[in-house]
Amino acid sequence: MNEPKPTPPRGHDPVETERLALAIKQGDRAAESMFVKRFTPGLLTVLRVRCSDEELCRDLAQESLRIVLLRLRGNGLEDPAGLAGFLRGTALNLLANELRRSAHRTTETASDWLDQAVSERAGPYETVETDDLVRAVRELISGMKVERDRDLLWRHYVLEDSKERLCAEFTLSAEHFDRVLHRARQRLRELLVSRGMDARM
Amino acid sequence: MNTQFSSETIRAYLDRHLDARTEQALEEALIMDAELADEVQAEAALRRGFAELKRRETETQPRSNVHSIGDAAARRTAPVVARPRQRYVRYAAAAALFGLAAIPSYLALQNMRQQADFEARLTARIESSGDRAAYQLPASLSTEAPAAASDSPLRLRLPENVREVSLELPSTDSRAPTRLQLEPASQPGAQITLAGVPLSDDNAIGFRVGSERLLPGSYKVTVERQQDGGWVADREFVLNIDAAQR
Repeated sequence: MNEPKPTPPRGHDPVETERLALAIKQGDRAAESMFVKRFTPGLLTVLRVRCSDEELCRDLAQESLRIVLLRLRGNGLEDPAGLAGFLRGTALNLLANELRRSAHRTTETASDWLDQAVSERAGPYETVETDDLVRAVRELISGMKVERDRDLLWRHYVLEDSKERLCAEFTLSAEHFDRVLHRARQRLRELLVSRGMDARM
Repeated sequence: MNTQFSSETIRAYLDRHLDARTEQALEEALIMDAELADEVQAEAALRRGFAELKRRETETQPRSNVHSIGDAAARRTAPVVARPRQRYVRYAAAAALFGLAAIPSYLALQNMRQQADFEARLTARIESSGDRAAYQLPASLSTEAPAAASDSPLRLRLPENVREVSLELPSTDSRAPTRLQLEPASQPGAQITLAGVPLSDDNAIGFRVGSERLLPGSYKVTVERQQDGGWVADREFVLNIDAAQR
């Protein structure tokens, strides 16, 4: 029987983070594995916002985790509560160094997404992935039973109507609006996972 | 759901519009909280997916179908309006909803399995509302002016390649079995019967029909509700499928 894989904890628990840092210092390899699983998604997100090269993002995330792990195994951090800041700083420094070295790797912020984000991913893998993403979005839309929610998504994401305007027009509270978007993101995530994709940027 | 950061903050983050301090706070939070990281990634994926949909829509849209909003609005409203007869108000309301909801509902409900279907959707959007997608029109528009609608037949224009149309009608009792019958004027008795499906949260009933069954011509439409073991006519109206635009 396969041993169940350790599941990284969800949500932010500072006490648990402190325990994790301590366990790593004491040489607990399972804690190291947990550390990597837990902090990889966030680090990748931070890097992907600044860099469109997926492979580079993965390399840098891994390198950042390696550097911080070595630090935790050794001297540790003076303040374990500052772990997130330390991870972020390490990742951004590595990225800055890498970009300095490779001037041709241009950063592409998500603000350019409308015109560039999709069309510039022209490789065969990216094309297949984009097709999958589009299929998932279509499925998301067609699966929404409330027509208002479908309208809301379209106007928010394509026409970029403001939240205030949409809330006023659809007589929704800001919280309700956020819930609709949250549900849509969750559903899209499920659809992407079911297609073997992650919701990368 | 992480409530510390609103959807606007996440959106601004992806656009790199946050000030340095807020950006740092959010990034440290999402490094610590895989759930928040997932949320941000999913938001980015959603935006990328919709961006791609929009890009494909632009690419597949025939040039001749692009009109100004004003032009489209005029095209949309002019042929339908005529003098109302009071006793037809209820039917006209249903007809107005039928017509205005048909293509939008198709757009929204059709599970698009083929690219051709999707291209058809895009054409329909533009024809119905200029530079706005038809299915983004507020549903309330469908019932705004029932009294201004007429007893003249409702026209439904189906763009080429539309494979299926979903029709939506309001219902006070969406749980009661409902069916819709289309009877071609040219072939009395040759009815197309569609079973209604309750649409949750909408107080509405949906009907789906392959567009190949909706041949151009005039149809008498009867919506029937099951009552005491039999079918009772709930409303009737006339529907014209316009041959010129198929």
